[in-house]
Amino acid sequence: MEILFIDDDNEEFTRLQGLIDSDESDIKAILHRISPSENLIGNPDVILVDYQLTNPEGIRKASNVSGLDIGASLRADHPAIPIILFSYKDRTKLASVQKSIGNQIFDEMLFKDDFAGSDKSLINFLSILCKGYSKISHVIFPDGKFVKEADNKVKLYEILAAPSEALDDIDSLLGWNEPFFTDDWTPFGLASMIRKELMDYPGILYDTIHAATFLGISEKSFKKIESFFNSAKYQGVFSDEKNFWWKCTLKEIADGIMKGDELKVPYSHGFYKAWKRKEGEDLELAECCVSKQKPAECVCCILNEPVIIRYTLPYPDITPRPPTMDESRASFKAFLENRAKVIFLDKDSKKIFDKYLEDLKSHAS
Amino acid sequence: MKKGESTNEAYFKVDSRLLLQLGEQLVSNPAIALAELVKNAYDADATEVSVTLENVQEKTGGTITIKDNGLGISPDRFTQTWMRIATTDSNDNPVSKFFKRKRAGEKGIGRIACKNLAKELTIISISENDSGEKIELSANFNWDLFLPGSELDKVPVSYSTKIVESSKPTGTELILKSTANKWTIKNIERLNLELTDLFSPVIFKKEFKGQFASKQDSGFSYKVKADEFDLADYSISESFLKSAWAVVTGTVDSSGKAQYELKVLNPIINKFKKNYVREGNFEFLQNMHTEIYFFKYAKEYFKNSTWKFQQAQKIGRDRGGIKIYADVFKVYGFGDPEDDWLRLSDDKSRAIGSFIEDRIKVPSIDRRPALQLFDNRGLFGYVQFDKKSNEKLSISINRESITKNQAYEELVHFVRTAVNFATVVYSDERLKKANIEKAEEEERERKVREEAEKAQQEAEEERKKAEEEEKEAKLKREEAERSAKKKEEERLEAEEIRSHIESEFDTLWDRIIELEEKKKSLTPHDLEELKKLRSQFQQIRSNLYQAKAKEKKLQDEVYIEIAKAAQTALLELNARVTTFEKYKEAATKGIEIKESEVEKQKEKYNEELSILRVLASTGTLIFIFSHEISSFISDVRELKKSFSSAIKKSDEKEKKKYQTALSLFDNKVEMVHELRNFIDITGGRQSRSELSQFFVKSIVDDISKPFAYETKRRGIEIINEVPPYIRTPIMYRSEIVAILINLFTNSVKFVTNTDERKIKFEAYEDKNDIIVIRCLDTGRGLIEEKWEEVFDPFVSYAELDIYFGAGTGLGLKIVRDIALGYGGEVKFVHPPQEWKTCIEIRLPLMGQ
Repeated sequence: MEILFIDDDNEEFTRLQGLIDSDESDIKAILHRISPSENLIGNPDVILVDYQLTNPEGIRKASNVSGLDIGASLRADHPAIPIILFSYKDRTKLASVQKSIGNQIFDEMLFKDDFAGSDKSLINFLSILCKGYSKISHVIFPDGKFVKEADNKVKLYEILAAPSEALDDIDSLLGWNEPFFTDDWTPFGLASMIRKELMDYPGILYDTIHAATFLGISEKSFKKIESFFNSAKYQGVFSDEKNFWWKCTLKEIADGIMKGDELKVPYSHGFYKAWKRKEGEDLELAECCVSKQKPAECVCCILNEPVIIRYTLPYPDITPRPPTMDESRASFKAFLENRAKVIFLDKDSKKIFDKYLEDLKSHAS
Repeated sequence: MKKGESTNEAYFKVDSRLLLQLGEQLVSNPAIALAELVKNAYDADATEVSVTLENVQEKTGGTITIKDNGLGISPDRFTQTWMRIATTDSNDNPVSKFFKRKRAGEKGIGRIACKNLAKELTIISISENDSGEKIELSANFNWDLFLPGSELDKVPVSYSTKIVESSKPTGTELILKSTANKWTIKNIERLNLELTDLFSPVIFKKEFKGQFASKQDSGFSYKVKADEFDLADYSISESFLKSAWAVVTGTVDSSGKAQYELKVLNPIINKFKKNYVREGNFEFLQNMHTEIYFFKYAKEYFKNSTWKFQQAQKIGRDRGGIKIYADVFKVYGFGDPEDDWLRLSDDKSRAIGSFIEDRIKVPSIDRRPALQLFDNRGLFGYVQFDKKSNEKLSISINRESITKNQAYEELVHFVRTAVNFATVVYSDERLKKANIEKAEEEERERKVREEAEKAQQEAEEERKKAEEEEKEAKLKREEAERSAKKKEEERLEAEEIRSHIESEFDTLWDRIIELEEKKKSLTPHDLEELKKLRSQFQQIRSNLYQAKAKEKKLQDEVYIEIAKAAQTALLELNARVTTFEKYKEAATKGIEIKESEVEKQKEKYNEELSILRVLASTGTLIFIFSHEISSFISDVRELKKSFSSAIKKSDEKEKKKYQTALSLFDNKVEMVHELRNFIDITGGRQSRSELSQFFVKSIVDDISKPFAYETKRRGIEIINEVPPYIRTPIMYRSEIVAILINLFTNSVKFVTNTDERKIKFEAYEDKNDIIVIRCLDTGRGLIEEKWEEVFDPFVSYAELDIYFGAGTGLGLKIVRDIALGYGGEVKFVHPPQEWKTCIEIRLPLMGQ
């Protein structure tokens, strides 16, 4: 894998090289470096752009050109190469505004912290990204160019390995993204839709915590019986990045063992009973992070912890999420920890939350 | 005894190398070696000694001569004592023969050191024997013969004796030929200094006469002759010491009780004496004496001195320090320019407000007396002790150190207490002076204000008076105007009468003229008429005159009245002008008073502003630091990752060792990381710009988390009993964090050294919609008198904490300012049982 690092400071390059050298991945990675003023060299599989560029003399001061500018111009010229903003600075320096702009240019914004000191492998991550891009390019852009065809949608289903029950949802997701790229699909556009919407918001796909909570069981239990849901596992493009399951298939498989009353209640309340009946095994249930009751029914969008729905309130996302996805709800715990803000709640939700506080108070006294 | 068996005796032999090694190790520099030889002269009851250095500057091979007028060395003494290494002579003969001086000779290290000073030593000494004969001893040591490998007691030293004339004075001359080293001006200065300070300053003082030598002892003086060098006088004159702020003398009596007396020489406010008796007795010290002159190099103390301020500062740098004398002689090194045996520079550089060790604490008015601590440059003095009664103070053979034991610690405490005592008195005096100056300044201001107010009042009164005058003048003017008017009316009446008479007169006149012209043809009737007319004419003319006169008079009177009115009007006008002037004067004074008040307020604001500026720049620094730390943390993590993969290749034992170290290191890194995040959350823009209600329980958790490692290490239990529903009023996150973190870190500092280490946060909402947050701890508590005082800026009773630093004394002030800003309050309250301190914050939930 050829990695190109765009930066004008040799020191940063040396440090990145160090990070790559200490990476224990088996994939062979070659790192090149060019300065922002140079033309692209070779045939890089992935481009890393440094966020803070210094001026040509290398004197440390903010230059007029930032990584965002470089990224934007590269993005226009190279829609089929993953481009990543890579910074040695800390995450807080990237304000949320830049983050939202960044999302439209870069595949990912990475910080050295994400890898240094953790077991995560940068090379692995980059290679998954490249693999995904190459698959998208290969199927939908065979000659490097997008031709508007009726079966493009089918090709998309194919690279996602989507079950037929999910197709409507995917269509709806495409519709949501229509203004951006329907007439001119690019590998970057598609990759963004898949990675930043389909995989990022729970609804069509579920990650482990969401899948487990959906079934009313703990993550630990879910991992134990994961093989039972093998056919629901997401196998499409970028699937190596993280484990996902098709929500529709999870339902279908669960339905397969549920009977009678079990089917009249939500999956979180019916599935574990069906499992007990069928396998004779008690599954550990998902515990509500607010009341500690079991089973929890959904996942708090702020804390990413299981919670019972009545201890949650609808909570707005900073960037709007596609309507196909599950509603974003924050747990009372997130509010009590000052992580979610009461001022973002609508009037009715605020009333509910105040009532909860009153209950807490009277309970305490 | 069987064949091959035997019993023998073996003896240690001493190699000549020992001399060289002893010389090198016992005496660290040539100046001290010579000083040791000078001491020998003192022991030999000399009253004068001269040290002459010749041809030593440029090259080796010079000559040093030490000549005294003592009792000399007798041949017996020479062979039995002089030639014996580690002789017990000074133990056997603790006082000198003639003056009964306490001897110092110790083990005779001076002469051993001679070997290192020069290749050859010649001794010429004249002594008197019991039968009154004068005997001259000459001995010559050629050190080259004492070769390593040769046995020390096999190398002969030849000497001769002869009887000399009885008129020859006794005394000893040591001639060191072929000196081994070049002497620099620095060495000579050092020699001079060592000799200057060699003897305890007390031994020849009147009050100590008889204690260290017999009363007949006429003293001891030295002279250094080195023509190659330009030598200055190194003794510190009394006139210099008189420029000190104060002198402290201290004694430890035979029971170990220490007492001090301070005498002010150059007062800050007044000259006075003050005594201090140390609590408790020293265990190992007795019969000790100290005298210290305290200097602050401020121009005010040198106003009346013959010494110039800069000159004094230089002396302080070169000669300041407290020397130690065991019996008569100095223990080398102590009180030298680089020495800090009293740990003064150390404490001063840390800028701690109070004296940390209880043992050397002296009560004071000033809350942070140690900030005024004297340093070595400002101290001139000594401590002198009697070796016999202070056996535990053990001085090394080379007299360059004292064994660091409890007795030594007590010695440090004894002298340090003297310094602290002076420091406390000094800082109290400074504080008093500052208070007096402040009071004087206030008094001055008050007087100025009072005067201005008085002037204003006076002006006001004058204005009123002028106003009265004005009124009076107005009345007079009106009166005058009225009477002028009346007169005018009268005048007009008279004018009318006059004019009537005048017309009558004219008519009559015309008729008379008419008749006169008719003269010739006058009828008798006419004549009769004419006659009558003439008499009438007389009458009318007289009437007319009268009328005219009256009118004239009235006219004059009118003028007078008008003049009068004009005059009073002028008076009135003047009075009015005065009124206005006085009014203006009063107003001006009023403005002056206000202006001075405004000026004062402005000064106060400027002070606050400068503090704010400092704080603002500190804030910026913290953010730069925080960002740098963050990049540093990732570097460290990266390094750790490389290191982890590197140690995977090493063997099991090594791996385990490194991994343990690594995991400990990891904890630290994570703690720093947490702290950095905390700084970001607390100080970040959002924290300062977004108003919200915050749940207190979580904030308490957020605060204690970054310090979890440190509090756990100290065994402190943090209890968060704040109910989850307690919310702050709408405020900035940084404010509630600032409140809680100040309380938290204060408590951590206070519980650290106590047996029980608990900190608890609790909160409730009272009936009046006020949230009450309380922080309790089991620390050393705070006496009720201080409950209010600690809220004053820069007041802190927290001691220096290695992790949290010394208190700035701003924390609680900030807490109170924030609370007041929200209409709340903060105060200490009586803690419930089992707790020592409880601070309570009340914040109204207005507008919730």
